[in-house]
Amino acid sequence: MAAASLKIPGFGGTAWAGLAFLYAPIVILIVFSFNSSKLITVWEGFSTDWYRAALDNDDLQRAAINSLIVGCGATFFSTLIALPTALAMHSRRKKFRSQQAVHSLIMLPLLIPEVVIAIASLSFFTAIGLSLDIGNILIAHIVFCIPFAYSPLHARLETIPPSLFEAASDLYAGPWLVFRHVTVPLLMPGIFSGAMLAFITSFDDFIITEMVAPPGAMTLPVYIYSMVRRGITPEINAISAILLALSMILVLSSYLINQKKTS
Amino acid sequence: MRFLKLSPAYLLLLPFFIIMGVFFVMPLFLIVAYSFMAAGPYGGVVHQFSLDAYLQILFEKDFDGNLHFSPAYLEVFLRSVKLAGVCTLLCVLAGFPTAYHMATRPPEKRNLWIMLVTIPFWTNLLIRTYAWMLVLRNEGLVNNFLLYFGIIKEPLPLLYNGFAVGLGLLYSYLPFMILPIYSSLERMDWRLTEAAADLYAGRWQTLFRVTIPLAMPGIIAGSVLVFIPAIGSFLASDLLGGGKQMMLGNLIQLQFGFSRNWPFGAAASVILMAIVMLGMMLMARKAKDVKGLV
Amino acid sequence: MKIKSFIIAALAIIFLCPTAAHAAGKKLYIYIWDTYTAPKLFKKFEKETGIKVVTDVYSSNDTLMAKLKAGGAYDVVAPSGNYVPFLVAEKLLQQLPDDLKAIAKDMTKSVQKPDYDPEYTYVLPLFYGTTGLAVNTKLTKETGASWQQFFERPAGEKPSVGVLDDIGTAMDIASLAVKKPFCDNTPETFKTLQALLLKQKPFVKVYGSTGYTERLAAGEIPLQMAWNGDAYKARQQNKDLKYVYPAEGVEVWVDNFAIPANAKNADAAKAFISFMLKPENAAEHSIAAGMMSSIKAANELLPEDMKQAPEFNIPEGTVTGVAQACPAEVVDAYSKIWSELTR
Repeated sequence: MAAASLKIPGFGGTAWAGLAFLYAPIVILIVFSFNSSKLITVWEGFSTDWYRAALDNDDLQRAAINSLIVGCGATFFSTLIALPTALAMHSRRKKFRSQQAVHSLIMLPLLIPEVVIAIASLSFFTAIGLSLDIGNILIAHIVFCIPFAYSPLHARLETIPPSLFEAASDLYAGPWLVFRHVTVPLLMPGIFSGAMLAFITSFDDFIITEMVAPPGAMTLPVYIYSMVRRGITPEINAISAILLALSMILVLSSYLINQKKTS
Repeated sequence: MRFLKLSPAYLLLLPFFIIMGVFFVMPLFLIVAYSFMAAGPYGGVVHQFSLDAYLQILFEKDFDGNLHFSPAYLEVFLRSVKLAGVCTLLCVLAGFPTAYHMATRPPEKRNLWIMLVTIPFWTNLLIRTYAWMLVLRNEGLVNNFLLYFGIIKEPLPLLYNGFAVGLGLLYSYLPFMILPIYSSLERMDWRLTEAAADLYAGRWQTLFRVTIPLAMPGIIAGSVLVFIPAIGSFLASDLLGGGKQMMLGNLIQLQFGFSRNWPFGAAASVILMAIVMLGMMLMARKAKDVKGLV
Repeated sequence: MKIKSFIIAALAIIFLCPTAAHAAGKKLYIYIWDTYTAPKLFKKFEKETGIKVVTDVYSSNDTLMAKLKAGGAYDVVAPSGNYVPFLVAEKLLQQLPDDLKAIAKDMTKSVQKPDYDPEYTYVLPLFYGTTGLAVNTKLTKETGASWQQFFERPAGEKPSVGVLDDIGTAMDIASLAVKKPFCDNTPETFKTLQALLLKQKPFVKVYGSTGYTERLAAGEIPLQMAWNGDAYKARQQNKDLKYVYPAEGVEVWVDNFAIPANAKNADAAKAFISFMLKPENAAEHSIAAGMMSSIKAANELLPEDMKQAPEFNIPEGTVTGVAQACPAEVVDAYSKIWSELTR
């Protein structure tokens, strides 16, 4: 009944086509990671040497770990900040006069070209003598991840009538209980969407990171850009494929953990 | 709303204000300050008030030293805005059906879809853009495929043009449209659409009259996440467009690189910021007026 | 799929990742061009001295300068010659000791007594190279005999030339084509350069430096302004390529070792530089980076194909112009020309 009336011809097809579009270059990357040629443009033959090279490369692993740490940290903290912000923006929608100003402030980091943020943050960090090693990168990332963590949350909240929260607190549920059992579950898709957007934004950042990174704290994009300038060898593809496999394992394992729990 | 009454809005906003106040607003002041200074001889700025940077945006000295009006940077700005607009539109067209499809999956599969949409983005953007070059070039997959089956005689010029740039931008920003739309659609009260369907409204009518208006917050949020970063993007135009037309991102990058003209780069960003903010506020006011009428 | 389980899985993966080994002892922070890393060689240095090398890379001199100005505590850096005067003027480099300066006498003529630092007070040349023309003999009958031909294309030709988007390099080459000195500060020269580039634009396939090596190797570009090291790399994949030195000459650039003023480990830095400039190590570095070493004896130790490569042998009598730091007005004018070109 419901499913039938929800189907719109062409939408499912578009979704799968969209997915294919997103994965097309990735498939090519993986194919070329098994290329024995030194450049990715020309196919010469099958080889797994590039995987060995990638796994033997200390600098690369250091960069990948730094990226994962920064990415997870930035995702966690930006979501942690975006959640109460979105709630505040939602709750007082009629009375909150400076709402528009705050909203603009949230979106502001998107507006300034990265290279400008990079220079300004570096100058500012230097001026206040901030030297937290990888923490410098983390702080810079949290700032520009906030709009990404916030937007899906905000969009989500807009669809929820405040009466829902009110109904819950009318049942004499304490604020923490309302938050834990009503707000968070209701917002989960928004939280998760925002967190994923924040993660891919942080994980991919080059310009700001290159500028604010203190000595010895290289991230994966910085490393990859340097490899690209040396001529793209399939080693980069191998790294990408390894990361992809890692993320797939992550998805699969969390899916399985969940299956086990529910069964 | 007891929960919110106990913790007033400003308390909830506190972490945001602290982080942004210290680590964003302060650097932002630096940027504004730079824009009113003179360029240092070796990059950086010298502490001396100057409006040169702002004048430079609309007027330029020619090689003989005469000052005259120059629309070059204005052109760059308009081109970037136009391209970002096209990109946003394409993202909505491709993103909405995808998000709709995701939101109508069974609940346990929805998070899986979120992951599926974002996993390609674990691979570096530069590398993904490169992969598109492999697909689109004259000896690339598409052309080889079409040539092999005799559909075309000459390779199609797919790379180093506006088409390639548009494709690259769509590719870089699609998830940033899909996920906000999805998160507003996910909780949609599908009984509404069913009710509409029961009232013999067609599927498409239901879509346009019920679903899309309800998904509007997501579409707006996604558009902001796509449009604004797309204005400043440059990788797609550099790699897929052949670097023949400068984007705002390139222009500003140039000032902090070869030109060593930080004040100009800062001024250009301040103006960009002012224009987009103004646009956003006008749109918000307009939206309020429309709401007020209903 | 629940979020909690997702987080558990994420944490598990992070902790299962092999953590990079943190060797005890002294650390040497080097900040060099991204193309100049040579992990094996750096390991060898670690073994010999017990000093751990931590490598960071940059992709432009401007990034290097911004970070040094912000107090980045690196021990060794590798600025290009044309940026050395800036770094010196900003007091970002420290003076080199005499025993390092002495290495300069082993260097090839092309890099001796560079005009940006003739006494080696602050820097020692590391690599040098040329900007010339890569020709794909299968795609064009032209020999790349002159830059003039590269800029002034026959009417009706399809877009087929590739120009590097490094503005300083492109302007130097354009200056060569119109037979003007580098950084010539006269309105007439600026107008001539602008006219030359604008006239060429309809025939340009790509302005860019990212990925042009791959384009060359894939045989997409008949004529490409190219750096010698990249041209050599591309030719390994595509034998139709030829690196030529046009009649008007080529641009020569030099990258150097230097020790920043606020280096924390200057002694280790000195040890590192003298290690890297020993002929056998310099040769290995040269192979890893695909560059010409400044050390004369190192070039004797290169494998035969590198020794014979036209990319690494500037023919007798070639006109060479050394890239310079242009004065601010010229930089301004060049930026304007480039903005106008790509507007």
